[in-house]
Amino acid sequence: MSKRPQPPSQSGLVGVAILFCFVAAAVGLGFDFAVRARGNFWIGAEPGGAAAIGAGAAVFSVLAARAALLILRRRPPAPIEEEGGDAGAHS
Amino acid sequence: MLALTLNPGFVPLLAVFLVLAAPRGLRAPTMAGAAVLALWLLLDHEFGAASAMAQMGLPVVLLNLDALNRIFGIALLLALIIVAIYSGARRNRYEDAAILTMCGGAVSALFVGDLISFVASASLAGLAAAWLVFCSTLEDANRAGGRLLIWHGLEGLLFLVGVAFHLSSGAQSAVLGRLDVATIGGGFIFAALMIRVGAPLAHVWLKDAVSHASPVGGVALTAMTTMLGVYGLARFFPGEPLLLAIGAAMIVIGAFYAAAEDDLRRAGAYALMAQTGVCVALIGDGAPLAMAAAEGTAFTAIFAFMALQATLGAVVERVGAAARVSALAGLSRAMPITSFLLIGAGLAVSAAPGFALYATHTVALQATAEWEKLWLWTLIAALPAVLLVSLTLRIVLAAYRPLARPPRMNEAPYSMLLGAGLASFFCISVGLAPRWLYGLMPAELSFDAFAIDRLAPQLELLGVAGLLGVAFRVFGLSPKANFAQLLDIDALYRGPLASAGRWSGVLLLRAYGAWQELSRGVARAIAAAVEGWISRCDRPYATSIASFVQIAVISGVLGLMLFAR
Repeated sequence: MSKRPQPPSQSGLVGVAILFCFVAAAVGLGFDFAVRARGNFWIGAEPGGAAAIGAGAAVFSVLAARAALLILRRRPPAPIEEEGGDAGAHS
Repeated sequence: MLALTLNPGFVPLLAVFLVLAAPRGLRAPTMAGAAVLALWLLLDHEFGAASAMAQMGLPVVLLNLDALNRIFGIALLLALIIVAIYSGARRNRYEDAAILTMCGGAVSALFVGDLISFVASASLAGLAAAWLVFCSTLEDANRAGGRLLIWHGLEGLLFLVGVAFHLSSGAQSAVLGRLDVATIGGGFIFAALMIRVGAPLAHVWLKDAVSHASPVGGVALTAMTTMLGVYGLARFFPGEPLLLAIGAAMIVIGAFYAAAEDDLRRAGAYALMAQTGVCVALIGDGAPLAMAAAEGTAFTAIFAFMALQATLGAVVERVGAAARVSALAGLSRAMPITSFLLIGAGLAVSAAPGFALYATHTVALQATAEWEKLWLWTLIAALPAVLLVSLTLRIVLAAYRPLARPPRMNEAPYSMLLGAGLASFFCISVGLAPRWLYGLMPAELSFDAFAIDRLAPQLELLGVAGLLGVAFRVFGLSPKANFAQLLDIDALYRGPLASAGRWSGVLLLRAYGAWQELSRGVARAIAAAVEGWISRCDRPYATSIASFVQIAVISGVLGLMLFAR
């Protein structure tokens, strides 16, 4: 009885990516709220505003990808059925 | 003759002849040597116009050096050195010649001091770009080269018409000053520059050319095409309000397509379009800080996107086809160095702190931090996060996805790794010590990119976007990486418009055939009638109305000849 080889798990890679992003976000948010002054020209430039913009950008990326694939995906050309398409099959 | 040697762009153009004759081993050093010599000429010269001459009554200023063209010139010539190193592994001398011609044309266009020479040099660079795509051995490269030739032909035509109108209005050709879009000449030149920067509706040529060019060609096209357009806009149309909207549209369209495109070199071209949009919008702002940010962003975007396209080109070199996200799994096992470089290139285009693009991204944010430009500030601020999720995370998660049976491929050639690594090194070195770049900018800039109130928001932005991007992928909210080709505006002129053209051609051919048949029938009838009439002339005394008419006509003619004076 032979087993088909299973693809290895990707959880390690995802874990490293999450770790990097979490550290960046935590350090950024920490310093942002601790050091930066309030009273900027709009709410997006206030402390924590960059996090909201980043979240919005991530949502935009996913929605844009879904919308583009839904609306703009090029349909593969339909196979052309030729008469005698199996000609030569017996040769 | 002395003036000919002074424009740094002429050095790569002269090196074309050497490269065409040189053996393979000498071609890359020749290209790099030409770039170094041109850099020396550039840095050795003082600001101001050099000698001018007159051709056909028009002044020709072959060199006019200032801070604006110096920063672009340094970027393009450093890019040529990277391309030369990157190209060491392949054998196409015509492609080398095309790269040198494109670079020489672009650098010449930067440094000439009159409008006609600018148009000639820019058009030469455009034609060389099409030649570069024709040199590719990838599928459909010839057709893509033809399309690029049409785009640049159209651009050259608009340039020529614009210059003709501009000069006919009494303007001086030798003065490279601000033009007015509202005039006919200025409008045509503006339209030509819109094609060169890849503005919406004219943006498709870049992704088409980059994805069909060879790996080396893709890198060269990324560095030396659109940024010449950015220079042209900064030179001729600073502070033009139209550019704000056009730049914003470029950011949105570029980011939208980069998020979904499966072919990564195309996605990279769309991302470059978005960053070029940042430069265009900043030029539209026109304030000194915004202009400095535009020039700096153009400089750093060149190296960041070169690093990305060079690394993706290494994958294309080994796969032999497009580098697709859907076919990238297991790459880290087969090509570990390339995969590592992909992480660096991805972070570089995402303006991660420590990379060059971050150093100019902060200047761009500072330049647009006003209530009136809130929407532009938000777009510029969000772009790195979009590129992190759409490009960097997609690439890295796909490349490091383990496979039970990883693909059997060798690592990329050494020269390719060296070229890609050098581009990444430039990104990191400029990113860590950006003061020399700030010193090159036309506006005196004392700016601390690593001030905590600039660094913290960027870390926060990228960190949160990355966390959400990974979460969307883990929970299956992001679309799966499948083979997909997306329709863009070119589908219109390659699909319905091309069909309409074909049908109108068929209709015109049929109408022409029908007209030919009709005219042939009429001619045949007239010939038969004349022939019948002439045959009756053989029997002039036969009793018929025709013979009577003939005799009357002959008598009349004779009478006129004899009696009329």
